[in-house]
Amino acid sequence: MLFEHRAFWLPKDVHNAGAYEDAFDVDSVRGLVAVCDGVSSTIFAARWAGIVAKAAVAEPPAANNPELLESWLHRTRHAWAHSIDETALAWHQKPKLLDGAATTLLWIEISQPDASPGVARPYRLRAYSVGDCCLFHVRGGHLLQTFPIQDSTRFDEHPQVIRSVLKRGEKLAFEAMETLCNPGDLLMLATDAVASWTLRQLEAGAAIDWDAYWNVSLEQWQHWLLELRQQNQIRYDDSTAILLRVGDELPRIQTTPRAQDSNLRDAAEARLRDAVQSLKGSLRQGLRELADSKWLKGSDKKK
Amino acid sequence: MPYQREISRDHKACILFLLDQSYSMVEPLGGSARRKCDELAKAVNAWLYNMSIRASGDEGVRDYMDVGVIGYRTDQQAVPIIGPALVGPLAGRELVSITDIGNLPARIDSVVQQIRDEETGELMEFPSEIPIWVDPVAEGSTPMCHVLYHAYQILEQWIQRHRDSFPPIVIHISDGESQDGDPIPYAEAIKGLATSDGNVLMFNCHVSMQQAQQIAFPATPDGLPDELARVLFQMSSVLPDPFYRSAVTEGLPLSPGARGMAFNADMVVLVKFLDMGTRAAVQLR
Repeated sequence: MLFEHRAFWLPKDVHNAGAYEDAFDVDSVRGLVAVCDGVSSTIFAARWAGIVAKAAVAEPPAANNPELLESWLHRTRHAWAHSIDETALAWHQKPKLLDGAATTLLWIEISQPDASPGVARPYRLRAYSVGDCCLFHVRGGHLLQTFPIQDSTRFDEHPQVIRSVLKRGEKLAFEAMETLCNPGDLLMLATDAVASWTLRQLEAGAAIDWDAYWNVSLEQWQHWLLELRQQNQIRYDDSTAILLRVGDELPRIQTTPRAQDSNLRDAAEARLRDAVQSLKGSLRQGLRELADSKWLKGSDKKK
Repeated sequence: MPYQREISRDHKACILFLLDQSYSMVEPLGGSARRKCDELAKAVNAWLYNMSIRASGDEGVRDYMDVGVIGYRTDQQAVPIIGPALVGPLAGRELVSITDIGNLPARIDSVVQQIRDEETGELMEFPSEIPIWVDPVAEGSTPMCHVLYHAYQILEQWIQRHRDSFPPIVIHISDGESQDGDPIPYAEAIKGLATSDGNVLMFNCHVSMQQAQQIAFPATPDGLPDELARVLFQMSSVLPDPFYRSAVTEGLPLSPGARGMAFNADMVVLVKFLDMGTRAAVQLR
């Protein structure tokens, strides 16, 4: 494995998780991660975002080769169109289908060139983006860079998107970045709501405890997001953050802080709570993958 | 900062149309051979059509907005007739979710639309389905104060159930002055209603049979042609910052302090005016 990862996500409508229109896919063995933000105002956006995220990880688009990129787009668009029964659409869905779905996409490729056993080498990180999903690169608790957005005001603009239908004259252009990572570096891929909030915090001079971020449970993260929404501090939108810890020797995830003087029974109860939380997370993940598989038959990718 | 609440199923929007159905609406709209009441019904139907499509998702029309269409006129004994203008299965309902609007039009007319190919200029024909919710009506006089009081009651109740939502937007379209008193205090009462995200917004559009100077979104009463225009100006809300910035970005020549008002509107201005009322919904992501 080239990294360990943690996935945090919260639907815009907490009562309707099926309406979650972000998507992500992770392959820690091949070093690939993709996040997508389906545009809610388009139809079948969740399906499109899911198809694009999985396709970007299964076979990353050739950002610099127009011919191969066109072929990749053709295949993903075909998969989307093929999944829709047009005869079952209502009157209000038919005109919308002509405009298709839209999604943003950020994907990264992590590799370790010339890796030799026992020799520590930096990892190569390549990132590609269409739209306003954002990558944060953190080392030793300090933010090194963000990509492709460095200024939170850019989140107010209409982002570039990948459409599920071909629009005449529309050219898809990826932003690209390449850098090196050290073992232990933390990367966060986030869709716009979380990315915008995080950048605004950093611009305001707030310190973000990235290590603590790594250690929170999904339930804690979702609770925290709901509070931010309640306080109008974060955009009311599907929210996703994928955290990666680069390298083989990784710190253990500790989802519950423990007091040093806790007795054995407290420690055992804490471990039990961790195990239950972990089981809940696994069940939820499994249900999501099952739901995805309805539209993506034949795919055995693991989120 | 007010008017920031994003619209969702948890925090629905509310758009309330108030339509003048007085007899003078049989006159032709400026620059058109069609009657004002026909053009108004067409514009409102088109707005409901666009909103239904915008709210349409994988599993149907998403319930993120309540819509009311209230007509007002008098009968032959000058008794105000104030009530829902929706026809078909939704007749008699004052506020209807956009889900029901999308699912329950009165009828769907099949038409052939001509669309010009952007590249070749060739006219192409597409079969299309046009749903209808509102029919034209023109009778009696203009009991504006009565309809504003009725709107106040509807919105007061809605706000009690949606205290943290984006505030309701009232879109009032008329072709003349109030014939049952001074409407300004009633409009002020409506604008005094508020959710935690700001006061109710009231936009007023005057449609005219004359091809006179059109005024859209004025920032001051200076230069308004008559007393009716000045009354509508006072009744109208200042466009909130998100609306103002969005309109300016799209090229509308607005000044700071612009109000949600149009005067001597033709069909083009009327459609632009209705679009202004959808800006809140556009924020849906």
